[in-house]
Amino acid sequence: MAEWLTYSLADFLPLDRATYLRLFQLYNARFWPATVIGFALGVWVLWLLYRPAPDRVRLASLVVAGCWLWIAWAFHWETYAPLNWAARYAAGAFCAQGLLMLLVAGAVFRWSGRVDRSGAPPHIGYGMLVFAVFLMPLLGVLLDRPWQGLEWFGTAPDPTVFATLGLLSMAARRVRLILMVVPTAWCLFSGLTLLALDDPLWPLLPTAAIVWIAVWFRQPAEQN
Amino acid sequence: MHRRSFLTAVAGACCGLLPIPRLLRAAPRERLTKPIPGSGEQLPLIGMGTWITFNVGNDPQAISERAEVLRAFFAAGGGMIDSSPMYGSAEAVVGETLARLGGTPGLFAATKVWTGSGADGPREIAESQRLWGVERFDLLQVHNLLAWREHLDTLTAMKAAGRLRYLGLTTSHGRRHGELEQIMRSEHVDFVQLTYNIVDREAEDRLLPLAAERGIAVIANRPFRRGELLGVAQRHPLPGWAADIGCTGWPQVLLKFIVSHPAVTCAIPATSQVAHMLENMAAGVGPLPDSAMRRRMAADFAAL
Repeated sequence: MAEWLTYSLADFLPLDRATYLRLFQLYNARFWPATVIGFALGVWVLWLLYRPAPDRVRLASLVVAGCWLWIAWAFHWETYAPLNWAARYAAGAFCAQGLLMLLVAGAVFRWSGRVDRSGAPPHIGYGMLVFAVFLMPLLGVLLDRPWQGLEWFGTAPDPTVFATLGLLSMAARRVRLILMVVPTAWCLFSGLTLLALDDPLWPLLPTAAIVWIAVWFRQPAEQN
Repeated sequence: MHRRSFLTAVAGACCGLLPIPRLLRAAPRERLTKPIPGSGEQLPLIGMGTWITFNVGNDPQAISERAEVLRAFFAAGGGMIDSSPMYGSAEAVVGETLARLGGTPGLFAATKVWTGSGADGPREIAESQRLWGVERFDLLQVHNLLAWREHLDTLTAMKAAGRLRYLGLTTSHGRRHGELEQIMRSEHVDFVQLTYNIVDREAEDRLLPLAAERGIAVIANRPFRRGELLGVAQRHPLPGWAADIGCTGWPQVLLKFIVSHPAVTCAIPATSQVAHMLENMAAGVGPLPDSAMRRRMAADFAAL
């Protein structure tokens, strides 16, 4: 155990920031027009959840589940894993999350017993979705990343995870409990990765996860 | 014959008769080498690591840039390239860039076996050979002592069969020195790789003397602590004594400190830039510091 403490965060990351950012550029080019399709799906999800009837929420969750499965294969397995062996495990986790969302939303349970957006957490959740679809890619522009390498909802992990947390705000308590594990773990993993790469955006996802959990736990039981 | 040529020839002939290390009889700009203790084979003092720098996947632009780094390395008389299956796509990129350069005389191909299962070692080594595009490795090392007993058996058998020239073990960050020392005492290894630089000098106490005693070559990794030491140094002007050991920049100073230790065979700085490669390789020529100068270098660096 003591030996592990002698490692720094950067010791676990076998690539530098330039390579990491270039990874998204090459990924977006290789799977073009997946980014456009992903963005369009994000807009559709926002439209579905603007008036969130149970079937519309379920449909939105199926779309997001598909995005998780796509990212598991196309990003983690095909693109990132050749550079970082840890991405193989991320691929497995994203695949599990996608399948779990499909099961929960589409077959085993109803997505939610209560899907209105009148409570504070669902309202925040919708805001998170808007942020993930429209604003997160623009953060890259502010940091002078090439536009070809921006991270978009549906194809890149971070905005998709961020949006998923927003979506889960509209789900029932037990659904949330089941489906929050991988997204919050990814928030931590992504934050640590970006911290090791000296990326100024590193606090974004861990902070979002902490705030999201805090809001959820503060929510009165009847709202869950 | 010109007078200068004549004198050079006479001096060279005399040196050839004397049992002094080639290091000491190097002409001022001749590439410095040290012998591998087990064989006497000469190895350039400055090699090249590939951790992070060559892990660029299939990015065509980055691969072209790394090919130029490698071209500069060999043009400056470079020898050892060290990699590992742990380094993501680094082995594949090394193989791709070596192929682009065509012939690479002087290449000393070194990689590692990095799997917790001894049974998986041969398959991983075969994959590394395929990625590098080499028929056999010059050096295979057990990465971070992982399953070292099983892998040493494999490597020893490969060496006996002529499918490997040298075998070794690696550690980094100063970890597991006690275990490494025990293995160095009990097993026959040609190389050890460990972290040694102007700040991380724990190896001077036991491991480097033991390597010298046992005739084991030493590869020094993390010569700049992944750039941290250069970051500290380059905020300060180069000391006056740097010129005495032929250094025009901090990278040379830090590398010459490492390779001037009598037990160290070579250092393996990693870089993704041609300019930095040229700076690194400049540490492999000219005078090396003696022990008094080494003490002064370490003290001055600690005071920065």
